[in-house]
Amino acid sequence: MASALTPLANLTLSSTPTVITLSSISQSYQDLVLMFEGNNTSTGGNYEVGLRLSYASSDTISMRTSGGSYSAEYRNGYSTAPITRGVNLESSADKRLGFIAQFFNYSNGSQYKAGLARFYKPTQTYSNGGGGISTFLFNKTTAITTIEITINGDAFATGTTVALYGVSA
Amino acid sequence: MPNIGFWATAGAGGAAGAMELIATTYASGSSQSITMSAIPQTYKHLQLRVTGLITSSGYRITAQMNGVTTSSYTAKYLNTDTYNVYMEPAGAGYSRSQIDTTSRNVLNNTYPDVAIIDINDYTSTSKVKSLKSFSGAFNGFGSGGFASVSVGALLSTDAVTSITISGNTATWTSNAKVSLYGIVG
Repeated sequence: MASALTPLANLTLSSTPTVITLSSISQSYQDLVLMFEGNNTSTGGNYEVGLRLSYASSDTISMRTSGGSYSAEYRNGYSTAPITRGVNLESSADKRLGFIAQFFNYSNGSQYKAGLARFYKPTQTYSNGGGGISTFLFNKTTAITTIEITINGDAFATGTTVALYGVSA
Repeated sequence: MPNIGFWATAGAGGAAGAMELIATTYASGSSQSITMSAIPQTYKHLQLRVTGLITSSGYRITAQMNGVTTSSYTAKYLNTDTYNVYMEPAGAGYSRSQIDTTSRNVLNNTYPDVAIIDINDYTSTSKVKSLKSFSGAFNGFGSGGFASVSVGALLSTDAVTSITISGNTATWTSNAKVSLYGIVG
C-alpha cells in the first residue's frame, strides 16, 4: 500500500532569508504537515517565528498557544500567527527551535482552516528553552496555496530545515 | 529532524514507520457518530485525523473503542484556556474518552475542531488500550481558541477492531470526517 505521506518540499537553507515561502502547494491532498527546525542569524537573540497562510493584507489568523512559560496566550486579527510564542529563535546551534504544524482540509474551498502545532527548543540551560502546543484558525475559507514562515526582526540562519508533506485521504 | 508525536517518515510505503491510509469516512444524514470498523490487524499503531463540525453548538469530540459504552474509560487532560495552561485531575469511570477537552464545549457548525489521535499497539491482547490526542477548537474569531493534549484509556486488553468518533450526542454536519491511518511496525 502506498504511503499516505508525500514529500512536497524539503529545504535546507543556504542563504539567510527573512521569509521562507512555500508556494504553489499541490491541492491533491487532505492535510498538510510542515516541519521546521532552525536558528536565526543575529548572535543570541530571541526572535519570534510566525506563520502566514495565502497571505494578503486583509487576512488574519486566530491562535492559542501554551506559550513558553506557564501561561497561555490568545491572539486574534493578526496577519502572522506566532505559533511558538514564548519559545523563540536563537542563533546558537544547540538551541534549534523546531515545530511541526498540521493543516487540516487545506484544499477545501468552503471551510475555515484550522490547524495544530507542537513546538520545542532543547537547550543546555533553563533559559529560553521548552516546548508547547498551539492551535490556529485562518480567517478565510479558500484553499491554502502558500505558506510563509516569518521571523520578527532578523533572518533565518543557513542550515535551517523545512519540510512539507501532503497527507492523503 | 526530531520526530515528536508524528510517527511517519516520508515516502517509503510499507517500510517501518510508514503511514498508510486505511479509510476516510464522512458523516452522513443526521448521524451522531462516525465509526471505523473492521480495522485491519496488520499495523503496529493507528492514527486518526478528525475534522469535527456539528449542526448545533456545544459538545466536544469523544471516542469509543470496540463499541464499549460502559463506564470503562479513564482520562487526563492538559488544556490551554484563557490565560492558563492547566492539568485537569485524572478521572475514571467515563463512558467515552474526551478528545478536545476544554470546558468550553466548542464544537459548532462553522469553525472546525481538529484532532489527531494515536492508538499504540492496538492489536495487542495483553495491554490496556490508550488514546493519546492533540486537538484544537475555536468558538470563532475573537472569542477564543483552545488547544488540548489528552490521554485516555479503555480498561480492556482486547485488540481494537472498531473506533467510534462522536460529538457526544450532537449531530455531525456532512463536512465532518475521520481519516484512519495504519503505522507500519
